[in-house]
This record gives sequence, structure tokens and C-alpha cells, in this order.
Amino acid sequence: MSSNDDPDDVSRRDFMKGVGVASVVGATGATIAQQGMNHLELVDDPIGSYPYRDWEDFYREEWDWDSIARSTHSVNCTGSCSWDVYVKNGQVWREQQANDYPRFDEDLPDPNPRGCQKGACYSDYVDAEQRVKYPLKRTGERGDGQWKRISWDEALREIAEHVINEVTEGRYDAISGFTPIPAMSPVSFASGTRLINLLGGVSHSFYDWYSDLPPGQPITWGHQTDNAESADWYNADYIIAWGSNVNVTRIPDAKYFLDAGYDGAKRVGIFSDYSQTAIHTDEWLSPNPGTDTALALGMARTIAEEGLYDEDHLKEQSDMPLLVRADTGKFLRASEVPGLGEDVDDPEKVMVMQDGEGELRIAPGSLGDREAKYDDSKSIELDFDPQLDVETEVTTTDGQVPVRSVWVNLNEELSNYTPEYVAEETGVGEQTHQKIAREFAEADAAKIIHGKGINDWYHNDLGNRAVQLLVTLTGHIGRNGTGVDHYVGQEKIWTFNGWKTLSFPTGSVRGVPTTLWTYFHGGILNNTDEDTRSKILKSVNEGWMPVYPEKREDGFRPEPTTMFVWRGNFFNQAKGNVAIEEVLWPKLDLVVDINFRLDSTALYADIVLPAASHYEKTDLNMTDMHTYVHPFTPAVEPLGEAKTDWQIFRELAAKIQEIAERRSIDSVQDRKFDREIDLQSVHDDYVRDWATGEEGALEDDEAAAEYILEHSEESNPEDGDHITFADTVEQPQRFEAAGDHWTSDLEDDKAYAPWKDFVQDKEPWPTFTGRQQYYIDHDWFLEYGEQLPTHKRPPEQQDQREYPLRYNTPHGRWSIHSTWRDSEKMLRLNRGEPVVFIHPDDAQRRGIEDGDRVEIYNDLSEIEAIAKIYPSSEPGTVRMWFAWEKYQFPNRENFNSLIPMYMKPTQLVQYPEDSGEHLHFFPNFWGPTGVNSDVRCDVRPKGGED
Amino acid sequence: MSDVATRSDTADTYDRDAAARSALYALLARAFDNPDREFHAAATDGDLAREVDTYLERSSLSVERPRLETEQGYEELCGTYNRLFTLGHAEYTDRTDGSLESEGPPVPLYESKYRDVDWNAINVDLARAYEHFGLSVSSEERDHHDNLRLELEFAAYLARREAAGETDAARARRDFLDRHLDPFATALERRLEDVEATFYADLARLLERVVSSDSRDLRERYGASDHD
Repeated sequence: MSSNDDPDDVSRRDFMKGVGVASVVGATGATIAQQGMNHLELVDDPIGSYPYRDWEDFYREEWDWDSIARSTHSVNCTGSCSWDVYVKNGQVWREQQANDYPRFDEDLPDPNPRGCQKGACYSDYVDAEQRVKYPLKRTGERGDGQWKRISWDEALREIAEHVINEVTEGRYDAISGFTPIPAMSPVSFASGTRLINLLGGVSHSFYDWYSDLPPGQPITWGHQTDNAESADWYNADYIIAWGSNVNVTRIPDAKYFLDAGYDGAKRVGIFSDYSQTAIHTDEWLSPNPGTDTALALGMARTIAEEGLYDEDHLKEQSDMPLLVRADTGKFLRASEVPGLGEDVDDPEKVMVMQDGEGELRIAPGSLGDREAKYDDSKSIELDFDPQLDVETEVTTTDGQVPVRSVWVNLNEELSNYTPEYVAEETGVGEQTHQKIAREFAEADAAKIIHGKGINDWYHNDLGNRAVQLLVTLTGHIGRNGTGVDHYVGQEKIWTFNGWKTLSFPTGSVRGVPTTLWTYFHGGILNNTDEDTRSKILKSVNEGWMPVYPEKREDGFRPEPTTMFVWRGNFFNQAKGNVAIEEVLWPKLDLVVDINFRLDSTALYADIVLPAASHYEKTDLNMTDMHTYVHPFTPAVEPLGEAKTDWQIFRELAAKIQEIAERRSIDSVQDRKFDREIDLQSVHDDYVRDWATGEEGALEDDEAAAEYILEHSEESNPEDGDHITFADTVEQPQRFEAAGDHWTSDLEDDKAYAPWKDFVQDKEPWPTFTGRQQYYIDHDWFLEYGEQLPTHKRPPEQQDQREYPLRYNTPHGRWSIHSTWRDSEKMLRLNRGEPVVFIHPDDAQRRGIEDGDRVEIYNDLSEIEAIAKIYPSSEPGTVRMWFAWEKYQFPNRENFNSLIPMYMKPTQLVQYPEDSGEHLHFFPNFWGPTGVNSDVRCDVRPKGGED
Repeated sequence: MSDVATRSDTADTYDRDAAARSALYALLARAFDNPDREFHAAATDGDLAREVDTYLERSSLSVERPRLETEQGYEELCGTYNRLFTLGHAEYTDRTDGSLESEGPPVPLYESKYRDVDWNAINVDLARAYEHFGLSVSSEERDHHDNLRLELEFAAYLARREAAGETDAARARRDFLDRHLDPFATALERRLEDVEATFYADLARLLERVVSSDSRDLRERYGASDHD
């Protein structure tokens, strides 16, 4: 902006722009005032043409708009709802549910509309005054909240210099990237993941870390998780919501649960508390906390004992007829039986059954009888009648060996769960659980919606397996309206291949199980019990589970140094957060957070980069709650200096390349993979389309979105239409097909339901035995007595006498994790600050009344909250619906501060041990879960005595 | 000292009083933006105060200038600015009754946070006002219409139009101050006084004094309001 000393030389137009104003009044030189006139722009010269008029039409125009953009919300909400966003004068004024999901089955309820109260006020975030608007650099200690604004160039240069140093020093595997759930915004997920992959850095798992992965599914079904879309609930005649509070956590889908009831389905709720879903069911069972496994196994006993099981299904589809050696507890293998298994590739990995004539037969489709984990060229269909009830001796290479079928072993286990025991252990009546079991078994199509309420316990794998057993016993699997649907933190992305190759272009991926990584670097390993510790070390040493940075040749393992967090709130949401803050965080030399708001991770970062909000970016959105893809499109420009995630990481790549070229930095040979990390080409590599080799093709966000759609079977199948980004903007598009990572085909006129490839098409299940596998003969499972599902009480993390209350942190109604936890509108719909729900008896005993300020404490920490008397709770448990930010608590300890990190050794195994086809580490498919329900505490009025 | 008597009605010269007020608004717009080293230097060595004095002298406003100097170093001033105005923490405002300022920073620079009217109503009103006078918010660095800096720029702009001889612009400024900037400045000053007495509290005092003095003068000249 220029100045002009002679006021008469200032043109009117320039004067209107602010030029020369200071000089008109006699101020000279560069003035502060001159810098104060550049954010409002003069559109045209209005002088003389606008007589001042009334303002009368302003309010009338509030409901008018200039444009409507289609977008959605989500980093971490798996609802995947399409919304219309209304824009006027370059601002978002409001949003409204889009109402144009196409129907694919007229017999099902209309899929429209989808949405919830959080999405309906997302514009508050877009328009919020606390948006991060420009790059910030910490000037005080981490968490002090002292920041200065820095330019994008300064921010990127500083980060680039650090990254270059780490890579050239060989510490590229000390660079971590944490971002959850790709399906919700795969371009944003891929942005940083792609750069970190090119740098040789480490990508973190999230599905297991947040204890969303149900370990029982890979253990039993050999597959990560596969769920029916929620529309399939309507196809069921009998639905059990088991620890899944769909009316709170699945608001856009809950209508299918309700409508199924109107259509005649019986709905049963199994919740310890009289939850918001339980109140809408036909029957509510309330097991004592941590006893779901006993309840499920009691139901299984009823089904087995009363002959209500589906015998054909068990014989063909499960491991029940397979023989187990009584002396070793291992499956009898074909290689151990003279004359058996001569026609298979690897008889040591082929199981054995007994047919109706008493002859031993191999189990077709066992791992040793197929090419790989998945092999659709083989069939498990049988031409003989395997016996379930087998207890005999067989001649083996080791001589005569007593064997029993899995079915006999299972029935022996189930015999422990008598009605009396189940009632005693779970609190559910002797008749009640048997009645539900019978009804479930006898329904035409019965389904279990399985949730976090079961999955957050240390023994979550046992709970999963016991519940899964119910659908296997009854054959309620592999058909519409059946199965176990586990909708928690859905890992599943429909457009898998496009997303994968965009995120990991080199194909050489350092993935890490975040629970283990955090355990390792948070110093927890040294404080754990010796058995767990030794098993963790064995798992790492055997290479079953990786930890980065890798141990160097001289035995030295460096510490992690660098962490990028985007689309997530790692610091706030971490179990064991006391250890993370005190031990892990100080190891990190640089923490970069990319965010549209200052969440707890941003507050404790070193550099915060301003990210575009959901209404300011281009991306895709999908979920396994439904079978559609729809987009984010930018309704408005990013606020302030914010940029999209893709632009931020692309520009960081450009800065790294610029510096590397100037300094002629040599490429670095990756110590694990056959590739060189070339910093001089990192930006060129970032924007290159690696599939076609086209340079610069992926400069912008939309090109990245198109890449995903083009390279995925689901959106661009060989024998179907190609869904383009423009198509998704026009209307949500139903996918064309289901690729290899799904277990059923996607049929035109049917809701998606999984496992049909195995149940209906008879492909071998991707397990060791090629069947649904309830018996795991890994040494560690045998050692812990967990070869079959069995009930174990929650381990005591705290002394029950000192801390008599259980502490539970379920998903809440008023936020999606920590997002919206600071939304004023949402806070006004509940108590508005951290609140703990307590049973009236527990409160009375402690002299606590509704609204009192209380302290919740255990041996780890102490947090403060308002008490809400919650008669719907079972006595003995307090609940804090998560996920309040650290800074919403007076002492900055948060809901996770009371929760230690603990890890179950059986979730660290590889199975089979030598080759791992059934269970091997793969981020978000198999790895230790970060559980958090086995915690005790006590509560006292604030300032009271223990 | 110039005053309203020097205002010219010709198109070729500028009313120095209105121009001085415009400069004051523009200076305040810059001052409430993120500090850079240049601004910090001006706030440290007295240049800022001197520049304010120049404009106050040239205007007919009766305003006592607060001190307007800081002893804070540059990074410290940045930290203060960001903590007060930009960083969103949920802060307890009253722990005795549990009330909570759930979102924004302690002293947000957005008018809607201080008014008993929702975000849309305030911003629609401002958007239409800016639009009416041919202005739009820069898309390079998008911000909400009720951002203090934008409101101050708008006041400066209307004052410039008055300086160029448009009486209507002065009347519009009267209404704009009355509807928006006057209550905003008053609330901002109070909030800052509650939070802490710093350089920025001084700036808020100057803001409130300039706005209320300008507003008073405009009401004297043109009446309380054309539309009640």
C-alpha cells in the first residue's frame, strides 16, 4: 500500500482503499493505520451510486443463500451422513440433511435422511472464534498456551529441517504419523501418511489402539471385522443389542432398529445399565459388569444341551468336528496320522475329522490344503458326514493317542455354565437367559449388534468369541438379517485399494501397533508383571509384533523423536495418559499437530498448523454402516490461513525437496526395505500418480479423491460403472461391487451382509482350519486355558477394598469423541462440564447429592466432576461419558488419567507361529487392543476424606 | 486542531476530521490484529502512542489516550495476544456455579460472542452492510464478518467516505456504531479489564473511547437514529 504526502494527489478510489488517509491528517512515514485497511476489499467504486438506504431487508435475507455445497462431517464419526451446506456472502450460515440417498431395496425403510444433532451444528465450528487461523509456534512450555504466529514458510521450513535431519541421521523410523479411520476422509488420511511413507516413517494403527477391534473376529473368523450395513437390521426377526447403545452412538441408523420392531422383530437389550437403547427393547437383560462372557456361554450351553444348534452348519462351517489330541491339546494333524494327507501340500497344517464310518478324514480347506490365507479355488463342502461327538484313540506317528473333537471339548467347557452358575455370576435370572437363548436359536434370522460395552474389557477376546459362538451354533451367519455386527470405530474403507496405494505409494510400510508402541515408549513395559513383560519381549523378538524405531545392528534401539498428529487427538484420548505425558511426550523433539481447533494434542504440541474444516475441503466419505460414497466439497474458502491436509503435507514435501536440492542431500538406503529415501524428489514423488507415472497429477485434493475412486474395485469394477467424484457430488452413489477385503458380494437389490463367500459359496474361512475356529491351539492360549471361549473375571487393576466402584467411560450422545465436547450447543443439552453418573445408593453412602462437585480417584490420579444421580445405573459403577478435553478439568487430568495401560499377551501372538496366515500383525487387523474397562475408583465430595 | 468546521463538501479535498477518525479506526484495526515485530517496536518505543496522538489532535474527538506502551518482549506479547484473543480453550468462568465458557478464547474478537443475539443475525446484518457499501471480505484470508478487525476497517471506510464528502456515509457510520461497534467495544473493554490489565486493556480503552466519542458526535450531528 502506498502513501502520498499530498492529500490532493490521492485519487478518490485510492482514498477509499485507505491510501493517503494518514497523510491527509498530517501523519508522515509508514504508519500503523496504513496497515489496518486490507481485509475488507472494495468490490467496485460505489461513490455517488449508493444513496444510503434502509437496512430493512437484512433479516428477511437470513434464509436466503448464494450457493449450496454438499459436504459431511467426520474425522472420527462413522455415521457418514451427507449434508447440504448453505453459503451466503462467503460464509456458511447453516446446514441441512441431504435427502437423496438412492434406495436399492423398496422393502427396506427409506435410507433418507441421515444425520444427528452434532452434524446439525457443525457450522458453529466452521464459524467458531477459536478456530486455528494461522500457523502457531509454542513460545512457552508444552501445554502453557503461549504461542506466537509464524508464517507458513517459517513453519514448513522448521519442520522440514527437523525431518531432513532425522532422515539423514538414519532415524526415519523415529518419525511417527498418527491419524485414525481412513474411510471418513481418505484424502486427508492419505495426505500425511503418503509423506511419512515416502520418508520411511511409521504409520500408527488406531482400530486396535482404541479397543475398537474385536479380537475375537480375527481369532475366530480370520478376518478383521465384517459387518452388515445397518439397513440389514430390518431383515432380522430377532435382534440383540449387546453392549451397543445404538440410540446414542448410532443415531442415523437407529431408525432401522426401531423400524424392525414395528415390522415384528423382537428386540433384546443386554446392558449393565438401563441404557437409552435398553428402554426401547422388548426385553432387557442386565448382566453384572464384566460377565457378558458367562452369560453368552450360559446361553450357548442351553442351545447345545437342548439340541437347538444347526448341526449341518457346525459340521461344514466350524471346527467342531476337528479332532484335538488330549495329550498335547493341539489339533491332530494329517501328518501325524499314517496314510492321511498324502494329497495335500502341507499335511502338518491340515486338521483331521472322523466320518460316519469311524474313518479319519482330512478337513478340506485347512491351511495346508490351500494356497494362502484366502483361496477361493478351494471348497469346504463335504462329501462325507463328519461326526461332532468324537472321543476316541487314534494311531499316530507318536503311537496311540487319545483325541476328542472340539465339540466334545466345547461341551465340557459349557457344562460349567449351569443356569445356577450363570444366575449367580451374571445376575441374570436362570430362566431368563435360557428363554432368550431358545428364542434366538429358533428365530428364522437372528442378529447380534455387538458394541463397546463388551469390547473394552481386558478379556474382550473371550467375550467376542462367546458371543460369536451363539451365531455359529445356530447358523445365524452368512445370510441377510443374521450375524454379529460390531460397529465400533469402523476401520473399514470400501475403496480399499485406491486408498491403500494413495497412502502407501512405495508399498513398503512401517506399520506399528500403537498400543504396543505406547507401552514400549511410555515406560510401562518396565512396570508390568513379569509374565506379560516376557511375553511382550518374546513377541517383539520373534518378529510377531513390530516396534519402531527398530533395534539397530549393535542392539541399540533409539527413542521416537517426531510425531505428526492430524485428524485425531492422540494426547487426549490415550489410555495410560499419565505415562504418556510424563515419559513418552518428553522423548519427542517435535510434535506437529494439524487441526482446525486447539484440542489437547494441539495444546501440548510444538507447532500447530491450521487445517481446513469439513466445509472447506474436498474429500470422500464412506462407512460400513451403509454402502454409499459421498463427498466433502468446499462450501467456503478455508478460514484465515488454513489449508487442507493434502495441501499442507504437499507443501511440506515441497519444502523438504527444496532444501534437499539446495544442499544436494544424498538419498538414504532404507535399512529394512529395498528402497532409497530420496529427499530431493519427495515432492515430485508425492504429486506423481504412481499408477500411471504421470508427473504432477496429484497436486490437488480432488485429483487425489479421483485417484481413490479410479483405483478401487468398489467404485471402478472391471464389469461395472466408474463412479467419479462429480457423480458423488451429484448424489450419494451406491458402490458398484465389494472387493476382496469384503466377505460377500454387493448385490443390487439387497443390503450388504457379510460372510456369504464362506457360508454360501463354501470358500475356506481364512483361519488355520479353514473353518470358523473356536479352538486355538497356540501355546499361549493353551497356557492361559483360553483355547476355547471361557469366562474370566476382569483382572483387578486396583484393590477392590480400597476402590470399590467400577469406572466406565462409554461413548456419549453429545459428542463424537472429543469433537463437539466443547460445542456450546451440545454442552447446553447436558450438564455442560465433566459429569460423572452415579447410582443413588452409591451417592447416598458417600453423602453426595445431584449437582455436587466430586472427586473421582484411584491410585493413578484424581479428577473433578459434577455428580449426576443416575438411577438407571447398576450400583457399584460410575460412568463418565467421554471425551472431555484435558483443559476442561481443573487439574488438567482427564477421564483417561484414571486408566492404566494393560495389554493381553494372547493378542500379541502370531498363529500359526511360523507363518502367521491366520493371525499376524497388520495395522488395524491384528494387534493388542488398548482396553479400559477393568478399572476401579472411588468417589468423594470435593474436599472430602478418602 | 481541525474540527467539523473544516469539512469540505467538494469532491477534490478531504475532510481532515473524518479522515483522522478513519485513521484511528484503521490503526485500531491493525493494533487488534496479530502483533508483528514492527508493531511491537511501535508499541515499545512510543511510536504507536505518538501516532494516536496525531490523529486525535487532527480530529474533533474528545478522547484521553491511555498509555499504550508495553514492556513485554516480542514473543511474550505474541503469547499474550494469542492467549487472550485467539486460542480456544474451554475455560471456567465461574467455578462456584459450574458455568463454563465452553468454546472460545477469554476475549474473543467477534461481536457475536458479546451480544445476546445469535451468530447468524449479527453476521447477516454485517454481511449485508458491507455488501451494501460495495465491500467484501477478502477470500485470501477469510474471516467472519463480525471480526473486530473487519468492523474497524468498515468504520474506517465509512469515515473515509465521509471525508470525501458523503454525508450518507456518516449517517451510516452512526447506525453501524450504534448497532454493532459501540456495544462491541464496550463489552470488549469490560471483558479485558476483567481478565487482566495489560497493553491490550489499554488498547481496548482507547477503542471504547474513540467509538463512544465518535458515536456521540454523530448522534449530535444527525440525531439518534433514522430507524427506531
